[in-house]
Amino acid sequence: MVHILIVEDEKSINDLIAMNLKLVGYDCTQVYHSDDAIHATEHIRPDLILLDVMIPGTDGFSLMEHKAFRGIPVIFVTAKDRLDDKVRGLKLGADDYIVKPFESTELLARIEAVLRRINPNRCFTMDHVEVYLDEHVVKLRGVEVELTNREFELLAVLIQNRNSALSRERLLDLAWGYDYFGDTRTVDMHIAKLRKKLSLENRIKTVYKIGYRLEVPR
Amino acid sequence: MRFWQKIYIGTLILFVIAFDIGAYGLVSYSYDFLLQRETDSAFREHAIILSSAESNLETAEKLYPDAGYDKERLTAIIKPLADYYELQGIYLALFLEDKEVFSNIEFVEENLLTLASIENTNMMQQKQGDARYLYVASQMPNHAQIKFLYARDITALDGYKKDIGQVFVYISTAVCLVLGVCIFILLKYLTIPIERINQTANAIAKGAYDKRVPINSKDELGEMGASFNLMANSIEENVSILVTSAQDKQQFIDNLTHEMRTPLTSILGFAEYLQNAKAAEEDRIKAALHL
Repeated sequence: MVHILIVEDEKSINDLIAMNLKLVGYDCTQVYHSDDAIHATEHIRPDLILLDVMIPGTDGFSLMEHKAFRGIPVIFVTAKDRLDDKVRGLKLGADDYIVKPFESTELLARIEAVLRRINPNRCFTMDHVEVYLDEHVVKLRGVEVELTNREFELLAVLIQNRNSALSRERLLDLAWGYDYFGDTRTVDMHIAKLRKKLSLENRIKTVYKIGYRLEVPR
Repeated sequence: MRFWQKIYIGTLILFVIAFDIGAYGLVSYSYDFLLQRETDSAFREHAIILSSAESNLETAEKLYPDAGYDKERLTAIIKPLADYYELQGIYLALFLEDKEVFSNIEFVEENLLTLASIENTNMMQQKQGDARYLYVASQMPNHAQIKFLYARDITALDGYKKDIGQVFVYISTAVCLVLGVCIFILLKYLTIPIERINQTANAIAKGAYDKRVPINSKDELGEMGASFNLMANSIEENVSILVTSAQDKQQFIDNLTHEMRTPLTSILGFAEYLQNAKAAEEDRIKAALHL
C-alpha cells in the first residue's frame, strides 16, 4: 500500500487531498505544521510527500533541505505560482510542482507519474485483470489481451481516477489529448470494447448524466 | 571633435594670429623709428659737413681772393671730408653750376639737385640694387652756384628688418610649442570634472543609481556636479519608492491570490468530489460540510 504524507496547514485542502487519495486507494497521513511534518517523515517514512510552501513553522522550501526528507519524493502543492518560485522548488529537488487551484485528476496523474518513476514495474490488479502500466500489457486470467493504444490509454486514465466519475469530455481530453476533436460517442464505443474484452461490465459503471467510473474496492 | 580639442586648436590659432600681428606692428614701428633716427642724423651730418666745407671755402677765399672757383680747388676742399666720411658709409658729391665737380656716390640722384635751394634742404631715400641710400641735397648758403649732395648708406636697416622678422618666426614657433604643451595639460586638468560627470551619468543610465560625482572645486563645474548629484539623489529616491511600491504590490497580489486560491481550491475540489466520487456516506457528509 502506498503511503502519502500531506503537509498542508489549510484543513479543508488537506482533507480534500486526503479524501481524493483515499478514493484511489492510497494511505494518507495528514499534518498541519512543519514540526509535525519532520516528525511524521522520520517515523512513517512515507512513499511520497505532498508539501505546501506556506505552512506554520519552517516554510516548505527550507523544509526540503531537512535531512529527514532525503530520499523521499516530494511534490509541492502551493498557491505560489510565480516562475521563480517554481524554479526554486524544482531546483531544491522536488519531483513536481502543482499550483492551486488544481483539479484532483491532475493531482492524481502527477502522483501516479512520480510513483511510476520510482517503482516502474507496478501492477494494478482487479478481479481477474492485471494491468502493467509501464509495459502496456493487460492480462485477463493470466492470458495477454490485445488492446489498441487508445483503449489502453482510456483504461489507464480510469485506473488513475478509480472510484471517481469522469465525464465523456474529460475522458476525451485525458485519453485522446486536448487537440482531439471527436464525438463523445467514440468514448462510449471504446468503453464498450474495454468492458467486453476484459469482462469489466461490473467495474466500469455508467454514471447517470455524468460519465463513467471505474469502481474498485478500497 | 572633443570640447577640449576645440578650445586647444582655437586658442593656438588665436595666439599665433595675435602674436604675429603684434610682432609685425613692433617690427614696422621699430623700423620707422630707426629710419627716423637715420634721417635725423643724416640732416645733422649733412649740415655739419656742409658748414665745414663752406668754412674751408671761405678760408681759401680769404687767402686767395682772386682765385675763383675751379674744379681742383673745390675738390681739394671736399676730398679730405669725403675720404673721412666714406669709412662711415657716407658719400658726398659737389656740383658747380649743375656740373659734377666731385663725387664718390655710386648713383647720383639728379632730381634732387634741381630742387635744391638755400631755403629747403631736400631728402629722399632710394633703393639701388641691393643697397639703400638716404640722399640729402642743398645749396651752399653763401655760394648759390655750388650744390652739395649727401648720401647715407642705410642698407643695414633692411637687413635688420629681415633678421628681426626671422627671429620673430623662431620665437613664435618656440612659444607656440611650449604654449601647446601647457594648454594641453591645463585643458586636460580642467576637463577632468566634465569627464567624471559624464562617467557618472553613464553609470546611472546603466542602473547604478547610487553613483555620485566627486566634487573638489567650487567653480561652475563643481556647481554642475553638485546639481547633478542632487538630481541623482532624487532619481534614486524615486526609483527606490517605485521599487518598494512594486514589491508591496506584488506582495499584496501574492497574498490575495493565496487567500483566494485556498478557498477556491477547496470549494471546487469538494464539489467535484461530491459529484463524481463513489464515496461512503460519511465522506460525502464531510465533504459537504467543507462547502
